[in-house]
Amino acid sequence: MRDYIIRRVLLLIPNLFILATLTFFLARVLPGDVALGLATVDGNIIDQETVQTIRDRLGLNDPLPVQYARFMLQLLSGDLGHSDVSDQSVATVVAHTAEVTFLLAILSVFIGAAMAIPFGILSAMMRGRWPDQIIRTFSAVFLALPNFWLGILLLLALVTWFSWSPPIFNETFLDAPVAQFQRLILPAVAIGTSFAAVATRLTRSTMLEVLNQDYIRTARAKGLFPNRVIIRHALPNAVLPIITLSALLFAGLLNGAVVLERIFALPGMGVEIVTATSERDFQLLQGLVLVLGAFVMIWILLIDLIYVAVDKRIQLE
Amino acid sequence: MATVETPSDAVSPKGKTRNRFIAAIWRATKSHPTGMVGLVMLIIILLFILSAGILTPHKYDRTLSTKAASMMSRGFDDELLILGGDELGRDILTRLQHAGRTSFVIGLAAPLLGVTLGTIIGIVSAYRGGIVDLLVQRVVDVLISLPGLVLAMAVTLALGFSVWGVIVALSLNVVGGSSRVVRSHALTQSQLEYVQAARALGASDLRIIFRHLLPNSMAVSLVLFTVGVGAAITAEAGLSFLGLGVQPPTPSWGNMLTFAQQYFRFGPHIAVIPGLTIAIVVFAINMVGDSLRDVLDPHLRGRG
Amino acid sequence: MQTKLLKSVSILSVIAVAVLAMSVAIVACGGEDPTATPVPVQPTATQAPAPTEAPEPTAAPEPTAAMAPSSDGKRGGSIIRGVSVTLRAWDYNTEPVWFAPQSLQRHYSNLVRFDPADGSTILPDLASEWSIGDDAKSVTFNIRDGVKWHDGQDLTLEDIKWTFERAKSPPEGERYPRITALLTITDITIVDDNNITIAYENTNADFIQNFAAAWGIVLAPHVMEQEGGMNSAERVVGTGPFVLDEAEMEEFVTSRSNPDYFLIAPDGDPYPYLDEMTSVALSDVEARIAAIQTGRIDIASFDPAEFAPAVGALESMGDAVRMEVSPLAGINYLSMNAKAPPFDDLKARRAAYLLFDRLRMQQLESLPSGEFASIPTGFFGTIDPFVDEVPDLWEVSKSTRDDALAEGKALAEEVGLEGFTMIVNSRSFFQELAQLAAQVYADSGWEIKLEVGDGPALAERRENADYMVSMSTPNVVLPSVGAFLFEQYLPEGREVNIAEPPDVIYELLAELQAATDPVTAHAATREIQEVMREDWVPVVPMGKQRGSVELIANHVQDRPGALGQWFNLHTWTDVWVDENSPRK
Repeated sequence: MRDYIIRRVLLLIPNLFILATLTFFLARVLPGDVALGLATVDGNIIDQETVQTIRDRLGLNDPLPVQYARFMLQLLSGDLGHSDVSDQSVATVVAHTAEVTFLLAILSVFIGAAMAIPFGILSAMMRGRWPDQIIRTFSAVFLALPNFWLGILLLLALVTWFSWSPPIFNETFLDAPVAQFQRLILPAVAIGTSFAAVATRLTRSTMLEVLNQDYIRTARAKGLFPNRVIIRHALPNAVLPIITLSALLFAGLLNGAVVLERIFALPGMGVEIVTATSERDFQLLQGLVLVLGAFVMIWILLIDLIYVAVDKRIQLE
Repeated sequence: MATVETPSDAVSPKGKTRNRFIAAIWRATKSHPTGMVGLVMLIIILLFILSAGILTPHKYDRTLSTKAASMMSRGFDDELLILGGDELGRDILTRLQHAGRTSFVIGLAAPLLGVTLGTIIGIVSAYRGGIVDLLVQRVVDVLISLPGLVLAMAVTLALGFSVWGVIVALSLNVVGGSSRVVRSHALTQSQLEYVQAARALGASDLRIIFRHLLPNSMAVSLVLFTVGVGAAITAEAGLSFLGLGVQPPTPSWGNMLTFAQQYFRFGPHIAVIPGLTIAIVVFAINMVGDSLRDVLDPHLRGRG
Repeated sequence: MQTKLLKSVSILSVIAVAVLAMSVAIVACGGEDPTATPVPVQPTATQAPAPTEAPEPTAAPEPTAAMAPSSDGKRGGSIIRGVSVTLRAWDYNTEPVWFAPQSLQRHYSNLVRFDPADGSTILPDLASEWSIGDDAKSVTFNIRDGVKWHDGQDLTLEDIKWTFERAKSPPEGERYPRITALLTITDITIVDDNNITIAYENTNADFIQNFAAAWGIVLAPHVMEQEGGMNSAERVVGTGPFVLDEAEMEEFVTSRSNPDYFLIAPDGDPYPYLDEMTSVALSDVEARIAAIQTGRIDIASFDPAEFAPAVGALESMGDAVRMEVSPLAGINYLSMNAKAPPFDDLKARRAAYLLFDRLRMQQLESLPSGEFASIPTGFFGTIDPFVDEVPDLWEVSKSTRDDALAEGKALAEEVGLEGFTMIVNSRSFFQELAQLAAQVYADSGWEIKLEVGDGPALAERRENADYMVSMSTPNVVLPSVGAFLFEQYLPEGREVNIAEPPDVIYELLAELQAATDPVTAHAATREIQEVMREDWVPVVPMGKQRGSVELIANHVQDRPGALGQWFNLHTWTDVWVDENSPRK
């Protein structure tokens, strides 16, 4: 166990190195650069001299290997760099935007799980009968809805029927939990439903496996139904895969966040990444993608470790 | 249908396997009514798409009426617009058909490319093990931990917004995950006796991979592929929403939905129709895929 | 037994549903939030004050010592305005986009400013009087006494000199992108305690407009020269009617009224009326509309690209809001790359010009309601003095249209042109326009291929002159034809790779800018347009841009004419909210 943990943690080092390299080249394959964005009005270049000055100042005229080496050295010194456009440090931007994005992702997981676990278990219990069919149909439908579309429809529905729309000012969750919850709930539902769709299927198949285990079959064959045993096995068996799934799908959840943060004017990392991409703010883009990727990596690692630990205990029991 | 052809082609050296395979799918579909419903829906949708140019007399890129014309309205020159006009007054029905082609090409090609790459990477990684495995898995780790949309944005911009650019971009979403799954599956396979035996008999690596490991991973890859089809169609819509999907005048369901948003208040139909179309199609695909998975997933085999 | 398990499972479902229901409840109740009520449909607006005499253009009313609080309920309250994007830099001079002044201009003053009522009359601001030099190569401003920066320091003439020295020779890599004409300033002289003279290169009676433009603000050197420059919101220090209170980049800017503001209303009230003014970024159109529909914001602002959804929202909201369209927009045109064939040839450009049917474009562009169709335009959009005559032009008018088409086709055949490829921005607004333009050309027998890219990708292609045609939708900042010509079409201007003008254009431009009476100016303008249509053809005008739109809740009041047109120009001094406002 200890060796496993050490191995996994050590593997983070090459992973982060590859991630950093990938983000660097991800930014450089984009056509155009930030100078063209900064020195243009209505798409027209103000003057060539300004463009060149900006390029020189930001080192964009240097050969790629030089830029790469500079980026890596900068990372090694623990500096994520400064935005090419606003000159804010990337760390500041991350600190400001991370809360919204991760709260959104976590809330989506909770909403998804709250729908998936009961419906998944029900679906497995009633396998082949109409509740199962209905649940499976709905989960397929929710998987099919583009989440930005669902988000806009939810917003329109609330405005039309309840004359309600989310608050418009961003606050930290600790300062204003209710307002922030109101801001996050619509996009979280839009993302959470597609997560719920996957999670419901997973819960169902996990439960089917549990129900097919020998001792339960035996118990059933004897006409007994060991309720307590099932509940005790069913719940952990249903919750654990969903936790794993949330780790596996975390990057996917962030996809939804990228789109929905934009619709609901949430100042999160997704919006920043889209802006940085469209402005060719290489430093900011690299920094944000790096942080996001590293976070998901560590998250996956933690979940894996927890899973290994918990799984062992379950097996021991 | 491509979903069926892909594996059967790959398995074709063994004619018997192929027949058994198709028979198995047939039996399974019969025993899975939802899958059957999905299949019928898919066939109808495909027929609808293939009848582009026949069903309506209009061109998909020609403005016929005012913006967001309502359903069953008439255009400038008295053309009948059955589902109304879109944000530029073009016939929505005609566009749905043409857009379907684009979306289906993307929906099939992106996961095909992604899963194929993922399968190859997964098998090679599992079979070679050691340093190759270690390095390849590090890259996969990184791919898995990045939101696909972020990768896709950069790739579509770099490849200049073509349909192929979108396909490549969306296939990257799939590579990481599918190679992981295939690898773990292939790992158990390569421990099996027949692979060990083949190796002992001096069979070449390529032969072992192509004759044994690849065919045995097909079921897993097929399941991954069917999941990927619906996901790719939806993901293209998401990419379109960010202005980075398939670009006009080429229609896709995703960009129809996106461009319609602005005119939602003049006529909800222009946003609802493409949205529902995506929902129905992805639903049908998932229903079929679901049943396929029930049949093919080794864990659940024999219990369907 | 099984039912028991089912029961526990269904209990779980109930819990899940309850969690969701609770969420909905929390959401729907909205806690103590008073704004949860819909915008009240207000029967009659509070009687607006009687229109007062506009101040003399060269003399501002003297501040009265006794500032009696207004009795008509104007004082107090606040306004929240939802905008498409807020700023990306605290130094908004470096930002060419309109949303920068939207959020920040109210903190600053100009030397002079445009009258928001008509968008072109020059009114006093920091300068109470001014005079244009005899050769029209300089302006002398008489700056009023006793103006204080928001941090309490006195405004000096040195500050003004510093500001325009900076515009004249900007720090490395920086520009005032919207008023590059300030680069032609030659000399700034402080004459005496109150007068400052600014001289510039060319004879130009309209040069003073540059000082009235939204980007011509006067900056505080004692703040900007601090370490780090304009790196935080605290550095937004001006002399304007509002003081920046709290702000978050890209999210919101909240300002409170400046008690020391130097201008007072025509009826003697101290400016500004509002206690507080906030701009908040709601980038998604639907989210912005939802916010004004539910009373979370008082004004929703839409850029010209969002014209259609704004009109749609107005139709669905009925009487709860009113709509104002600011004509400060400009023109949509196709600009042809004259650095490469085929459009280095005047004949090809003229063919492209003649084959574009502007009336057809108007038909295709019309909105479902039929109203607000865009108007065929000449080369100068909104500020074109002859815009009303455009539909009667030979190449536009229905009766002669076919002749023009025939000539266009003949020219196209002569140069062997059957269409072109066009680069276009990936934003939906531009793509809509481009597709409609392609359709218009298709009707004339040309095939247009679209190549899509986002902003920087297209800028790169323009930089490399690697395209045939590109679509532009410039926003006009200065309201004179001469300035527009200089800013946009001349090689010194913004449009790159554009055809070189025939020399006569420069002569006509000089004539126009030296003109002291409107008749001469009109004649010169007419001749310029003539040359542009026949012998130059730098661009193909598509139509007048639809303006930017404001949806305004009924409880927002304004001095007549002050909030109406030219919306982007005013500094929110003349606005107040009535008793029905949720934020009174």
